[in-house]
Amino acid sequence: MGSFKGKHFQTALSAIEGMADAASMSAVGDIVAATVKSFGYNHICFLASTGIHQPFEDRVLLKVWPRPWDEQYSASNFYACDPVAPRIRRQPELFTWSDIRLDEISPKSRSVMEIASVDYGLKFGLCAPVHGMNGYQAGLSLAGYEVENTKDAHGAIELVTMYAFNRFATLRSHQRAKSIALTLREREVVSWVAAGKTAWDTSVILGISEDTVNKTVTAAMHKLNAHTRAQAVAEAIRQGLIAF
Amino acid sequence: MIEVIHSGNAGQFGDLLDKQFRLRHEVFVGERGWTALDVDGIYEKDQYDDDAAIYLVAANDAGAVAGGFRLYPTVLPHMLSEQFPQLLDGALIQRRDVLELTRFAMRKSERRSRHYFELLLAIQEYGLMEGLSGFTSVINPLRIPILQGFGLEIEPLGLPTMIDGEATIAVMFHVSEKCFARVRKGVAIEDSVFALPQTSRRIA
Repeated sequence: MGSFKGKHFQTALSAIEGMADAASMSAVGDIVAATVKSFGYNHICFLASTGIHQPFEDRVLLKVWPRPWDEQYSASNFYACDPVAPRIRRQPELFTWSDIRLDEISPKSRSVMEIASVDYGLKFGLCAPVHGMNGYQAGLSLAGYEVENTKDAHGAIELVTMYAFNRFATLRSHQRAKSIALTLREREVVSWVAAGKTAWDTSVILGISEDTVNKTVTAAMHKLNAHTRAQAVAEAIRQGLIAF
Repeated sequence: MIEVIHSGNAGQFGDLLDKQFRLRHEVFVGERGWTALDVDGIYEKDQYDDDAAIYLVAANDAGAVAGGFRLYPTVLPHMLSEQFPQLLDGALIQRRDVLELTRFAMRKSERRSRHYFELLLAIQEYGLMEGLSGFTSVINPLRIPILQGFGLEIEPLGLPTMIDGEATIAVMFHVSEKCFARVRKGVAIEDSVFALPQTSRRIA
């Protein structure tokens, strides 16, 4: 108490303030990573619930994993039996790996935990779920070798996780609002791409140059956060920007 | 609709106020087991239910109380200053333009109803109406993402702490036009949540 803020609360507050000013999702991720690293965690994964049936990679908000672990996790499809994943969906309160009872999880899940501990020396893990009005929203899963395992450190991580999720959600909705602002011409052009027309076809149909068609598609791809024309079409359909 | 009940108009709203104390008993004594606050098996009251308290009560047209919360001046001894000072990591906030929000209670069947959304919006609308900059409150930290999801701006005043087996945290709900607009959108309510134009009541 008193007017001096404790170290851990100060850590949480500076992270929260920093995230409020962060203009991109990766900037928010950097702050989360720096904060949890200061508590000794060097395996960091922040996963969103959106589209629970989507592949693991598509739901990652932030992932800082040493390469060997990252490679084995994906090659051996650890996500399918990671005991942390179902619990983070079910339980809104923060928990540690030591809260997971080995007799309550499947043999496959036990082997994931064993590999983490024996092969990678990960002795301690912490999970901070974020649950909103409609249940599970996201979860931060952390692990490390020498971590600060105190109530205050957990409290600071819990707060930073919640505020990070809120900031991620806000930035994502801004991004979406921005992407929805496709111009009429962009929607027309993407519609013709969806119909299988080439840039040349489209230029003839719309009576504009092929170069303009390509530039318009590129602009639409950028707004839709798409890397390929097919992705842009899929995203435009998903957002109801073009009919299909 | 939400009624604002205070010592100046309590006579007029005796029935609503009575139902509010009964609902609080249902929620805090019945559901959450805070037996120390049980007055007589019917009402739940504590030392802050005095002339300085202001109640925002959500009622339906038939006069049934769906939920509500209590406001109390932070310039007087209040719950955070007297009962939970250990939750504060930093100076106690005691300002005329900051009230303490306590006893947010919803009838079980109303927890996702329009009444709940009106009460969330009322935090902003009442705050702006009264020229307040915010409300301090002790809440379960798990509420933070839910309330943020509706657009509320929440500042932690300390770390989450377990008290008697319950997770708690002291927070400040900030009040601003920007936040008001965001919560309006978040709960999808366009109109004022108050029944009548409120006359400002200054905290003595």
